[in-house]
Amino acid sequence: MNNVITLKYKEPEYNRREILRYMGQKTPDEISERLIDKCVLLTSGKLDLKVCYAIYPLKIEGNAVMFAGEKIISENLKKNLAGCKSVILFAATAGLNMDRLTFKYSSLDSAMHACLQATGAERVESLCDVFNNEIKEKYITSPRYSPGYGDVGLENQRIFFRLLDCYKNIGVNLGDDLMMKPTKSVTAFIGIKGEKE
Amino acid sequence: MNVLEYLKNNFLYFDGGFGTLLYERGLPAGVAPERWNITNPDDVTAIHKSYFDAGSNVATTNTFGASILKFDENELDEIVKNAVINADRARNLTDNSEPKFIALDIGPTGKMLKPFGDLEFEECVNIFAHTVKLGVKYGVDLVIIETMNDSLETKAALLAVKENSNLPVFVSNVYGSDSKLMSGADPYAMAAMLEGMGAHAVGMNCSLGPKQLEPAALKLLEVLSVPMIMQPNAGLPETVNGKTVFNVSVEEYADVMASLCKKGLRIMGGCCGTTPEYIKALRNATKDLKPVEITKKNLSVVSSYTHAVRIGEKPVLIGERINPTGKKRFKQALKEHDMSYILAQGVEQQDAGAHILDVNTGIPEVDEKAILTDTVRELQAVIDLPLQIDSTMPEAMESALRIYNGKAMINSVNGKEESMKTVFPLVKKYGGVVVALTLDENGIPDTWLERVNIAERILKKAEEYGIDKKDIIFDTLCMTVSADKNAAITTVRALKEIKQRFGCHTSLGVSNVSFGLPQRDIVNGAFFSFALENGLDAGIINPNSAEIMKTYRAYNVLHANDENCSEYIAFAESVEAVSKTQNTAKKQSNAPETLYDAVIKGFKDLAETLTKEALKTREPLDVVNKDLIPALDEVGRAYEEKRAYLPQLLMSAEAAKSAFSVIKNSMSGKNGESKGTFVIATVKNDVHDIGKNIVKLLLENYGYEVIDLGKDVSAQSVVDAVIKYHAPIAGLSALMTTTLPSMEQTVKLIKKKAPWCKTVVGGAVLTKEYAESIGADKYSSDAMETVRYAEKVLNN
Repeated sequence: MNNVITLKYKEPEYNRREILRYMGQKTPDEISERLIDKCVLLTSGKLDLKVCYAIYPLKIEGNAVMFAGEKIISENLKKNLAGCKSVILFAATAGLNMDRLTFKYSSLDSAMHACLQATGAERVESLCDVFNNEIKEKYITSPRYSPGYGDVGLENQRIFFRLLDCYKNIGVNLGDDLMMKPTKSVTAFIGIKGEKE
Repeated sequence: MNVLEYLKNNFLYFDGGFGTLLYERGLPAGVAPERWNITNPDDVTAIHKSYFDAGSNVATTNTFGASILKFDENELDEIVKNAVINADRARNLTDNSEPKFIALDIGPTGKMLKPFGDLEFEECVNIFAHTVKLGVKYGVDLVIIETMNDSLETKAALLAVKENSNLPVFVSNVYGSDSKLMSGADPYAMAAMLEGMGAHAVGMNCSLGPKQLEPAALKLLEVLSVPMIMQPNAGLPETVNGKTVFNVSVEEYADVMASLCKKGLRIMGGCCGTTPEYIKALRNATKDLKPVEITKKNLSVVSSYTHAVRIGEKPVLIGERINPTGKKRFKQALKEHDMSYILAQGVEQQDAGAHILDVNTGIPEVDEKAILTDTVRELQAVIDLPLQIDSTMPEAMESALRIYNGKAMINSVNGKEESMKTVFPLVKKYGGVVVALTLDENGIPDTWLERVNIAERILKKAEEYGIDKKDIIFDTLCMTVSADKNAAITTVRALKEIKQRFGCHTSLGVSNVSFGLPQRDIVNGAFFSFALENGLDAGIINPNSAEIMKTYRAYNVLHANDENCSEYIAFAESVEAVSKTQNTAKKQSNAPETLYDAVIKGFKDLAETLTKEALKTREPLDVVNKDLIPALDEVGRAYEEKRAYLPQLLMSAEAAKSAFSVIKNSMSGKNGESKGTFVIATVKNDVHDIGKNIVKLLLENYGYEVIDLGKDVSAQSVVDAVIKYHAPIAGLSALMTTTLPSMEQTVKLIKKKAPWCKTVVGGAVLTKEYAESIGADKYSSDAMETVRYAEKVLNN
């Protein structure tokens, strides 16, 4: 316990292509650029980007992935973590203000609403990338892997919330429907194979 | 001795971290610490005793997570009972001979409140109430609500304590390095709300070390009239050789806390990472200090979920636009429960410079209690201005005050006995600054003196209820000068007198004065100036009125309320900019020339301007048929043919919507023709409504009357609406596979109870095959397809 580290991040650069992609458009045009400009202006400097994480020794037996007294039976996760000695569990969030802004525009402007949804998704994914890159600088890692992918059911979210105390540390809460609040939040495993030279 | 008595002349020392000490004693990971009250009472008692031995006066029961969310009734009862017994045993075992108290510990539920989470406010109050009642039953001396991240949850907990006990209650929140709660509140906002509700001490704990919490602490000390409590962490956790340690030493911790005691800190302890050693050092560091006297700050203040607004310094603007009086469109919005219209009114006033928003939803045809509460709930989710809850119906007022996330302005009480009897208890219970109207059983007096006399009676009565005069703001009621030439003079004279005689703050509805006159803004602006010069503290005004805002900005410059004239300059520039845009909006580099193009390219403001222009020379229907519908059709086609994408479809729809609203306003009185009624909903258990909202927007633009039931809607509610409006068509959306059964159920119920109604379904997880299998009439892959289908159904 108390081995959870909480980090606060400055905002990473906006990945406009990703925002566009979340809205189902590949090539930017003058109209979409104008919309994204507005969302960037609205969110920039207003978000509370946070990550909390902990590292646990990892044991794999058959399809059972075990750490911190927890056990997940999964072919996919086993493969993802093969060769790893320990595993990082982390949770990242774009914060409550992202949800507030999105909620506000849900009744004011549907174009802004859709674009803010996309921007929120982009923000938390970019945050995960920043965190993941920091980890990669120190360790040799497996690609990050979230509950809900492959055969790792969403119910495994509960493990993250049990171990990381996400509500207290970064203000993220798990609903009975296994959805996270604030909605633009991500949990994931990163396997650690060893330290970098 | 009562803890509050003791506090009058003494520092009070709480204990420190508990969890770490339990783990050191072998609490296994995954076991709820609260269960150890029952299974390992000796360990829990020993920890309490170690803190008493170190010099604590207060033992915090081991009940941080003890709620009916985690334990059943019987176990919860056992946990609280034993937690109190353990603390009491320690109290008897220690050699510490000072007065010692037991505080029932209440931590957060761990759930988020609606609308950003799942938990209903009343459910949240109820969860806390369970634990509080047990604390009372087993005889704790006080309650501590702590480690609260969210202001609204804090309010729920404090209400639960107040409604179920007479115990002293201390409230402690978690501030980040930005001196704000995770939900956004600053220390001033928390102080306003918690003091208003009668917390006996207010403060902070957890998250950071004492040095990092100092800025938040100093802000609280600046405004609090009750003692401050502070229980920081021993700094931040660091991993050293695989072990977690905290980075603030015992000495440093005690030093910072002692320095804060010199500035007014009265109650202290520790949180994560602190041990009996820290408490001992704290006692030593403060043993020669004399507690700083706690003074009344007498601030008239209201607050929102983020910040507080002080009344009595710079004049405050209260936006009057959320009010149906004399507004047809607003009444219609209330009847239709059209929250987006009401929210837009709020956003517009905030953008125009309002500091507080008046919220009045009283019309005879609606359930005012429900609609006022809903409106407050929606507004406070998206607008961070404090609200003035404006109702003549006490039940509606109470319901809204209960869920209000802050300390509200309350409009209003008056000199009638009945009014004071119903409103003052609400002010006392929920906190608030109440507007007091100088009228009584005999109506509004003609003379200023009689109005002042009523004010005096109101003040006296308020005192009987324990309401301080700082929480009363007098409105001396201006009638129209067209009916009484002395109306303005009398009102302002009364206002000036009340201010001088009683030292109270004042407020006025400014717009009434000009009722019945032409060009009312001119008179309003001058009257506002007249009142400000005579000491008006808060004007209930229309922030969209140029005259009012000119007066306000200029007044502040002249009265040294505007540092470097910066607000005035920004305002002057915006006035200039607005007058320029009227002429140049079209001439921006890539801005379209025609309304048709403005809609196609999604220029919302321009579409509005161009529609207004077009209506000067053309009939509304001509604009609709020649510009708007063709533009929508073109974008719809481009979208279907994949020449355009979602952003353009939506931006163009929004531009068309703003054009349509101009047209609707110009036709008010005449009936806009509806092509037919379309009932729409996101099905039960599903809260994803973005697709549904897009469909709604397009349908409205194409002239359908859309009855939007919202999200998470039961099958029965959909059917009820279909029957009520005899709707020929209903649309259902679902995003998650888990909610598809609700969709099936809804389609089947419609078929059974309203067989005339066609059903169209859509959503990310739906397929044509699935839609057919559940008996839906139509599967739509996107919003345009739904519009086309509606046209087909309603043309037949």
